[in-house]
Amino acid sequence: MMLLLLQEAATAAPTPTPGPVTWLELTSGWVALGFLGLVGVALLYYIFTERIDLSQLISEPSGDASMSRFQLLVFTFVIAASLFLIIASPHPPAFPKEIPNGILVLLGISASSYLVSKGIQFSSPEGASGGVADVKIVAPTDTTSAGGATIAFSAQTSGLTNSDVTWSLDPPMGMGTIDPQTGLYTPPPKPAVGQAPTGNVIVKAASVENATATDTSVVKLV
Amino acid sequence: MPPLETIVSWIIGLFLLSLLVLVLYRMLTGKINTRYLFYGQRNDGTRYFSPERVQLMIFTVWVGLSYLLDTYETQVVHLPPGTQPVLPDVPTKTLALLGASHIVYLSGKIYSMLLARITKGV
Repeated sequence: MMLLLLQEAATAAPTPTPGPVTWLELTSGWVALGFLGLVGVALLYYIFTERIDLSQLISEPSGDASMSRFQLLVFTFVIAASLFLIIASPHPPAFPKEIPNGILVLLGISASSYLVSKGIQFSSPEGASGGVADVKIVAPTDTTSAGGATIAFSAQTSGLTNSDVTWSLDPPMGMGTIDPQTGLYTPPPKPAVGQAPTGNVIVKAASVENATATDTSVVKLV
Repeated sequence: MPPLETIVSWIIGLFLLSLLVLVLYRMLTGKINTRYLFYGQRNDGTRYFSPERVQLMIFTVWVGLSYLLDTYETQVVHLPPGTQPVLPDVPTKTLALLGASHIVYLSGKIYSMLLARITKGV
């Protein structure tokens, strides 16, 4: 028995011990570190100066913020920070041998819930068309003058089955007129005497189907 | 001069922290869009304040922070000498709570959809 143990100990593979760091390894390490450091700085700089646009980081294509995406963002930061803590705290640093099942289940719950919520949303025609009832005014120009050219506004709708909108002006009187159906804006006539009206007039488009879906645009009378 | 691995740790730590600060700052100042984060949407396109979303956010932040604190306490502060740290497992109770929170969130969504269909007579 003793012999067997001795034989086993003799034939067992020796544990590799790290040798002295050569200048090549050290140089490679510094070059890799410099490169990754620069990439990190560049990324942060571009995010800070908004050349990398994060404005829609947790948004749906419809423009609304998504709770599922927010949750994924939180969990990503938490797992990244936890990994950093356990890799950087020992000496020498080491990558963990396995990722616990609990983390995978956590991310699985989050992702499954996102998929199911998308399924619910896309089970209706409104959801499939982008979900949010929205109106966007398309203005060929935003400047005219009293007695000047008319402006033909149009509206693009989304998330609505009826694309008709009603047009109105604010103020409703004295700054021109707009056709409630077609969106054709006619500036006020130029007075024969006195000063022509100038200033801003607000054009509003409201969905016929859903009154909460509206958009506004400003016309400058110069 | 500190060894290479220490400098790498500092750089990665600083990068993660800077990214987190940037994202949080942009969210708080509205530069990252958080519009209607707490609002659900019915089939007819109208929005409603959604308590199920609020509870989901609370659970998300709570699970995230508690996991991070757990990692720090068990794998950094109270780790026996000579032991290799590992990512701690997520407790089953926490997973169950998060699952329940998601079920509440999805149920609210299904309810609003069904309500709109019943109202429309579809």
